[in-house]
Amino acid sequence: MAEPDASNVLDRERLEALLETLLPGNGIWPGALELDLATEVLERVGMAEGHTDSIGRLLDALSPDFQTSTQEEREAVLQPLAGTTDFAAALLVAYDAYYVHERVLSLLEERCGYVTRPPQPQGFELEPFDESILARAREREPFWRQA
Amino acid sequence: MSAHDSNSADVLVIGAGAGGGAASWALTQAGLDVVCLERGDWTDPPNYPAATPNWESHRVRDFHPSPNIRRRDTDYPIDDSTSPIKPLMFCGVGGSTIMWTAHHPRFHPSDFRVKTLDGVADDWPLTYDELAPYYELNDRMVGVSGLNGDPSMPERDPRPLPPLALGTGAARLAAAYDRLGYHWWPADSSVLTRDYDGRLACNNCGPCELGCTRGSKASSDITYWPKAIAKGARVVTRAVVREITIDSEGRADGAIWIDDESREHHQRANVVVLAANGVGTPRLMLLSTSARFPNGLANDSGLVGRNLMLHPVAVATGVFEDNIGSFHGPDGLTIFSQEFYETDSERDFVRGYGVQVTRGQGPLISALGGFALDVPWGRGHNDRFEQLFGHVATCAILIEDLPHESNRVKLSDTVRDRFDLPAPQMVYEVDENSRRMAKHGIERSSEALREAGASEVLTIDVLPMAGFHLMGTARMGDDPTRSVVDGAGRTHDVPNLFIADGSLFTTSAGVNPTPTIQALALKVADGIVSARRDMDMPSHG
Repeated sequence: MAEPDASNVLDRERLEALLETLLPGNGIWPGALELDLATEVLERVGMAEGHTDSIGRLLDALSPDFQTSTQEEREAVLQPLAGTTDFAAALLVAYDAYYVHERVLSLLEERCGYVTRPPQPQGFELEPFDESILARAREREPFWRQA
Repeated sequence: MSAHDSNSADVLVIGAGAGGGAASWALTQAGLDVVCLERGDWTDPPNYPAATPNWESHRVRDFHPSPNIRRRDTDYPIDDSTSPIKPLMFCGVGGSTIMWTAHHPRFHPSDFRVKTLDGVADDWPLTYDELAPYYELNDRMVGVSGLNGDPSMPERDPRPLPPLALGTGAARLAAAYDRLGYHWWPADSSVLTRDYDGRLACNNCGPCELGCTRGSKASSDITYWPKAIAKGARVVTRAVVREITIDSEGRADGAIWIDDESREHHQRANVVVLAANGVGTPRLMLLSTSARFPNGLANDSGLVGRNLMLHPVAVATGVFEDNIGSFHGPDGLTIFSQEFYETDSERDFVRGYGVQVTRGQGPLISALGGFALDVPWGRGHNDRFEQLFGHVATCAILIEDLPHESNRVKLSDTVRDRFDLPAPQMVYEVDENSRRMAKHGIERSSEALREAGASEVLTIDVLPMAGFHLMGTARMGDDPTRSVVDGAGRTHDVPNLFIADGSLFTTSAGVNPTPTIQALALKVADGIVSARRDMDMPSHG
């Protein structure tokens, strides 16, 4: 069954507040609002069956003043919901969108040394195995049990 | 029977995974006409996720290892509400070898004699030495990378290929194990370190579990199946088997399968080999009821589906203050330790566990928690992520799971598949012996990780998403009241029905099962070939 169009189902303002609560940034890494992550999430959320409904339920469960609350207050609202499958779906979709955003990819390269191109087809150098590291391990006598 | 009759075959194999591929290849080498029914599709290696920009997204969606999350139309649901360890598998030609990390260990000689040596469970009806020639054959077929000289195992033929490089995290663990006097050895893997048998060497891309675009990882769709098909094997994909049929004498005579349009077909054969994995095989046997077998096919013992073993996995992840680039390299393959593999009366558990040292994961999986990573959401997310990403090495403690009849696969009363067939249900509890092993493994691994320089160690007692090893649900044995099949993989109750997957395992050992599944499948096929005259099959070839 086709997933509903998330942009027609999910309250964008609430979604933005939810995403910013999950990923507020820290001054070096950008937050969700700064990245306009909601746009990406609305495009991706329908890719997995049931996620639009899950996030819709989660947004419905938030307090009416969620958008206007502080980060600390919003985290307190979310904390009791953190063990639910609806929350897990929201977290997955948020991180999924965040960690492919070009600004985040740049930071992964710059700060973590992570090469962000797809693993294939280029791959990485396959170094040879250095047998010298086994000098000590080779000294051990066989210890498997005869059976 | 005619080899040209598309509706009949010498041998019908159900399931085109690790065991089904190996068995089919061996049967075709002997000239037998083999038809394989596979509920999944062929996959398309060049288009696996690793070649796409959003490759990690696939890991949590259409390439998730759980069929309950992946939900492809070729998957079937599994009722896992009564199991703390969730089932992981893949349906398609290649089966779960499409998604495995290609660890390639063998069982130890002692694993086949646990009753005699340690007074628990049952001995296998065969020995390591009897299986060794099939392990050797399988090593050559799949292309194993590794190194002789491991003191924890008997000597064997040299591996065809040298081992993979360790990476910084595993090298530090290896040095720590040396200082602690603990065993370690480079992991055997069925990932090619050099070009082999027409396949390309690994180019160190990393995410083996998303399928290998180069064919460097040995999934059975690229190892056994092309050679089996060249010898005449026929693979029917998207063929959902719902029942093994029997004749008036109680012998298997084929299977009824359903195509995409819900049309039913009856594939006939002189011999039936079930290779649908440790969940799928007992499910099919339990679905195949008749006047002769009212409780499921070949189930006079009542043991079909029982003694499910899963290998509980405990995790200790060390965090290093420096960035060790742990996101580089084949994620599951570095070194292993068998220091605590065998029973030691000084410990508060029987049998033991193996430790596999694994690398880290990509950014998305790391953010979501990876192996025990405590990355919070909200404030602190980015700081903690940066502390952990690229900074970790994990000891995966793979626990020998003892068989219990109460741990089982049954037919679900509530969950059904898209053809309205009852889904399998896993009823499973982690036993106290395993919990003690997990505690011991975490303590010893934490010690090793700290010795290696880790500034903190993060742990999980029982990893929920770890049910890749599905074993024991149609166990081997000499006693028909305590087992479902004999030492040749032939069911005690139906003389021409065989099993060639992890269901066969009498016990689980403390290492990954696939090489043993494939060695057993080759041995089962050998037995069928030897006995073919008794089963109305030709002796040509």
